[in-house]
Amino acid sequence: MKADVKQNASAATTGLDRPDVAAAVSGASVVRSLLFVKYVALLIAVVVLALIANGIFEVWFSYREHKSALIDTQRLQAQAAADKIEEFITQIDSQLGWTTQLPWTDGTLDQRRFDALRLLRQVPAITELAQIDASGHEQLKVSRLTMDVVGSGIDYLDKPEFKLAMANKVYYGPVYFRRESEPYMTIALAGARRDSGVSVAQVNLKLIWDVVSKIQVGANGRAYVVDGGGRLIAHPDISLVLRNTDMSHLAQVESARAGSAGDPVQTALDIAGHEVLTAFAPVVPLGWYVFAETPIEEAYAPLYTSIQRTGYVLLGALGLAFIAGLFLAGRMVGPIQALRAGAARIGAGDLGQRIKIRTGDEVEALANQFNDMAGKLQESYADLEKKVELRTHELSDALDQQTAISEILRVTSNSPSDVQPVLNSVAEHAAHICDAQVVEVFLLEGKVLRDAAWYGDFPRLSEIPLDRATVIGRSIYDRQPVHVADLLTAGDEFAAGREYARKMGHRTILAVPLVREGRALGTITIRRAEVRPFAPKHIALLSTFADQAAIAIENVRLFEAEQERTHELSESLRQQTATADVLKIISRTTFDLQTVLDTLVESAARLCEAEKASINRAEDGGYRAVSTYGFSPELKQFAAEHLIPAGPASVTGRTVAGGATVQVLDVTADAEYKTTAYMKFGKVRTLLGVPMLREGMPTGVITMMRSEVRPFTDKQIELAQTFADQAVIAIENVRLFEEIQEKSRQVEEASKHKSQFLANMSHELRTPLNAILGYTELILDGIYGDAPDKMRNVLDRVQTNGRHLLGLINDVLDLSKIEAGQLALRLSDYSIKEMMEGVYVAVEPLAGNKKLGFRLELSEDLPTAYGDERRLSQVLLNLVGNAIKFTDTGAVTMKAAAANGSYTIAVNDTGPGIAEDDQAKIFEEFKQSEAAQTKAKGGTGLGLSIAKRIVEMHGGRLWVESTLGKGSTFFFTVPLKVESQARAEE
Amino acid sequence: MKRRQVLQLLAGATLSMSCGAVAQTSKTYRVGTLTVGPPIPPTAGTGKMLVEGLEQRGFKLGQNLVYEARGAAGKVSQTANLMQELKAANVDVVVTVSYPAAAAAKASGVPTVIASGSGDPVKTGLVTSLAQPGGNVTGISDDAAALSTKRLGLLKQLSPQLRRVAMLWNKDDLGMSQRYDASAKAAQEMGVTVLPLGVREPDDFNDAFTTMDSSRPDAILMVSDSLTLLNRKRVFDYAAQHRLPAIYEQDFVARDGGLMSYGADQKESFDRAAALVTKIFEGAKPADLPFELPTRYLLVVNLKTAKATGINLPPDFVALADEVVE
Repeated sequence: MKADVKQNASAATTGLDRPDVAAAVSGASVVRSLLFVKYVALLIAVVVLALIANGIFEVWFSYREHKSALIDTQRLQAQAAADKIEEFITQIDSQLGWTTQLPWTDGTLDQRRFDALRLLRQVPAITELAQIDASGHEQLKVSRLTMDVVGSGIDYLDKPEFKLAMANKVYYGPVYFRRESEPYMTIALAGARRDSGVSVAQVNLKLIWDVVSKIQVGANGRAYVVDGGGRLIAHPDISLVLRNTDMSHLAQVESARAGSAGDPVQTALDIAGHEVLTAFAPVVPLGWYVFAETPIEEAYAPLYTSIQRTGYVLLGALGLAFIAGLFLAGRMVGPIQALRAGAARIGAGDLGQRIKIRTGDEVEALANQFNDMAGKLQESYADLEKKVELRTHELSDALDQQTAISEILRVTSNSPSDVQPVLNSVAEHAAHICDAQVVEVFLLEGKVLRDAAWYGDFPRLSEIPLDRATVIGRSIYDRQPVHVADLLTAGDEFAAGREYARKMGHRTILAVPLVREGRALGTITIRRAEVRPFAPKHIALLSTFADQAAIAIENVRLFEAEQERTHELSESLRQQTATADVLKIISRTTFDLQTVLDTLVESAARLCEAEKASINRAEDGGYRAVSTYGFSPELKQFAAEHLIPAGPASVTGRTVAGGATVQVLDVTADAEYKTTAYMKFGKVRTLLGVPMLREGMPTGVITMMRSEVRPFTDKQIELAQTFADQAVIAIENVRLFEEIQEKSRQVEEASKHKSQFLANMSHELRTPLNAILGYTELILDGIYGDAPDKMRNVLDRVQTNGRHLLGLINDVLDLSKIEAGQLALRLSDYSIKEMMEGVYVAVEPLAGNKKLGFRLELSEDLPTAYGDERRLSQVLLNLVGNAIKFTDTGAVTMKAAAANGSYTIAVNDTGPGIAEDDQAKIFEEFKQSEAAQTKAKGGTGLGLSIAKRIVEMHGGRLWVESTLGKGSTFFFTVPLKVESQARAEE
Repeated sequence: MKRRQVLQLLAGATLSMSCGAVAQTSKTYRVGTLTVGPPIPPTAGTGKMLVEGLEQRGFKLGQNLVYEARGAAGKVSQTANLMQELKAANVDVVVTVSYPAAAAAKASGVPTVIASGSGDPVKTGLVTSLAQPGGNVTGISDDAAALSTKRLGLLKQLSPQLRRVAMLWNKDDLGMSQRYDASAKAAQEMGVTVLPLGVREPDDFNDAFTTMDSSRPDAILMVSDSLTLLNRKRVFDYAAQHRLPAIYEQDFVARDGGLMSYGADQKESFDRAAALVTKIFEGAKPADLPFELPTRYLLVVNLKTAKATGINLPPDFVALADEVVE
């Protein structure tokens, strides 16, 4: 059938493109195979689904059957084992029964012993047998392992094997392990007669293992026995039993122990944690359970086989379904394929195509209908083609117009600032599209129409007067298009126009005004040399062109206005930026007056468009240019050597005199102007003078010069005045700054002189005082003979006061040295501990005299420090001295501790304390606490001040914490390693 | 019903493929025996018992089992060297008889199963616990120390006037010394004096006999080890000569001419040993295999010897024997 289609197609080839058809056919083959595959897949899916469903059922049921079969077998096996165990126990019971038949009389002992030994021989499981008389005493014990014991009389009254056996006839003890190894159980049996006593046997249960081990459960299963408490008694793996394994936590054991209620557990985990199928049977007399278990995998085994088998069947069925699918799908898809291929050719334009299908069914009917449709299509096709041609022509016209309009738009947008290209473009396109010999664009300027653009081969009119009697004029007046088919026969309405027509040789004319906001800006005219009126579409088109031209003209006008405003704005911005720059420089370089002035004059000159400018300040006999701009070196030289004269002879003079801005438009025309020497160095025509006013008084003038006559605008003058004000401020700032600098230098000098003086004075004072003290001491020591008591008293006072004075001088000396910057630290390694101990030893007598407690508390790990040990000792001495001085009862404590690279020393006392207001004052020179007792204690008031500065020179800190009435603690912290001397705070 | 059968058949087929028994694999297993006596042959006595036990468990001599026997023939000092030979022969397990053999095997590190004659392994320090041996040694622990008292009891039962018992044992064997100590203690409790006759080498037997000549015992108790067993005929002769009732440990000694014996059933002991060997073959570690105790103890009476030596065995006594040699 496919072959049919192909032949037919090639026979009926029309003029249509072959590649189209080929493409359609190749697309078809993809679709074809899709349908084909769908049919095949459907068939396969149906078969496979059915098989899989069947397979799943089969697998599931066989698993269930197998599992229940396994469990049944296991239960039977467990039952059989339980029976055997029961039999084993029952046998022992009955054997034991023989030993309890004789009553207990003296003569029976030998007989009993013999019976007992015989029993051991007959029942290998019994390892030991004890016989208890009715009163509960052991009379005989025979064993396989040890000697027989006769009449030991051991009391069994309270033992369960006796008590329970007497009560219940028989007693089964719990399983126990001999030497932690062998499982044993006690069985006790009471005789039928009351006086026959009880036989107690120790039974080795290892024999039960044999029973259990021999049970083959499934292929990999096993049986085991658990006692009533859940403990493992027998298991093929003896080791498990010997390890005394507790099984009670297993689900199956739990369930069995729970009794018959509910279904027994069928699947559970075994002791090794594997899943197993499990069944059990109870050993009734003993309360034990026999379990039989197989790994769950055994139950699964048929599952796997079934899956495998189903897999094979599935594979086979898959093959069959595939072959059947191929055949059936081929039968079904063939005709459809032929139909589709034929339709595809028709669809691709091969209208001569006819489809041949002889299946005699719906497909054939469908094919015939396709053939009819193709015939009809072929007929209507020719008709359609004609219509299309017509329409295409119209479309191409419209397209030309659209293209022209868009071309003009493009030109408009490309030249926003120039209207000429737009007008040219309009003219050119109008000529082409409207088929006119000439196109001309006039723009209205007052009462004249000026030729702005032109296209065509007629002579060009440069301008024509506005006249209602011309077609062009009329269009402007009426602000609407004016169309005249033949000017020569139009009558007198367009008399002037007729004249033009005669002169220039055109007959038909169309003029369309360029109207913007109700105002005619100009007109477009198109003309033809022959009488051939323009079509309405031409009028419409030309109106569009006119609108576009009007918009373009308006755009250019707006653009120019915008340009103007932008220019003004940027000018203003430039001035503001310059002013800001000047201010910035002034604020940055307050103290460099020249730079400020130079910047000012330069900026002012630039902004005011002056070629030269200068700042002139008054000097004796005239004015000097202190800062210039635009001066040549020669002019600069000249300005430096010559003063500007005062008075009306110079613009500067005039400005100062008037205290207001002066502008001279042309100095050459000014009779009074005498400063002509400057003109040797370049032309000067227009001059501006702006005063620099401070508190209303001119302190200088900014002059600006131009070489041509061009007045400075108001704006520029205003700007120049601003700069003049800035110059005044800058000059004032510098003056003030220099004043302050001079003053502080003087103050510093004075302070240094004071300190130097103090240092010298103290030294000078100390020398004679030392002599006074020395001699006083010599006298008191009796070097110069015994002094009378009265004299001694006086000398004591001399010495006391002298020492006080010396202390005062020393302190002043230290302080002045520090202030004069002459005190240098002598840095060296030192031990904090040794330093503090030194101070302690030195001050201890003072504390002793006042009966004060005096303690030194040092932490163990004080490291070696680096600093001026002598000065720090001085600080400490001062603090401790003060503490002892101001404390009357209690104790003074020194402490030291080091942390984080520094150490802290604290001096604590139980003295009167320092009021909070005084705490800051005590560190100032010559200041002491205001409290009354301070006055009584004396002192220079310099010690703490010096101490504070020494600590600060070490880069440390000294402070006090105190509560009035409770004592004070002075602290100071000093870096462990002082790297360099720090300045004491002034 | 038919379908189920088919399924079971299939399941069985799969399973039989998956569970390959050890015996079916191609590997060859090597068992060694070590004793201070003569080497134990696989064809007779305890060796045969062991081999049969292994055969029952799927290890067949000449197929997948190799049997290596070493015996010091009384020269205890040779034991360690023999053990090294076994180790060099690459045995998987060594089965030992006697304490020195067990000690040598333990020292070698080779998995060891004690079959008999080594005393209480906890007391001799071979292992720390019977339930969890923890080393390379497991096996059968005999309660022989306690049994010695049972043997004394049997002697006393035979001759109620028993006052002095001569005990022969190998002084060099720690397991044997234990037995002597236990027996001596039990004897004291029974009011029986013990004549201690510790021997170290064959020549010492002469001294022992001399001692017995000078202070005559009422009975002889021989503690079995390779040394005493090797010289058992001399003891039989001496007992017969002096009409002394004597008791021995192993059943075969009574069968061999001793008056009577009481001890663990050797067959059972070696069968259990075979079971333990099997487990080790299958990959278990001796450390995890608890020691086992014998279950069966046999009283064997040799009526022939009794008649020959003129000792009268009461019928009740004979009736209790597990085996009577006539």
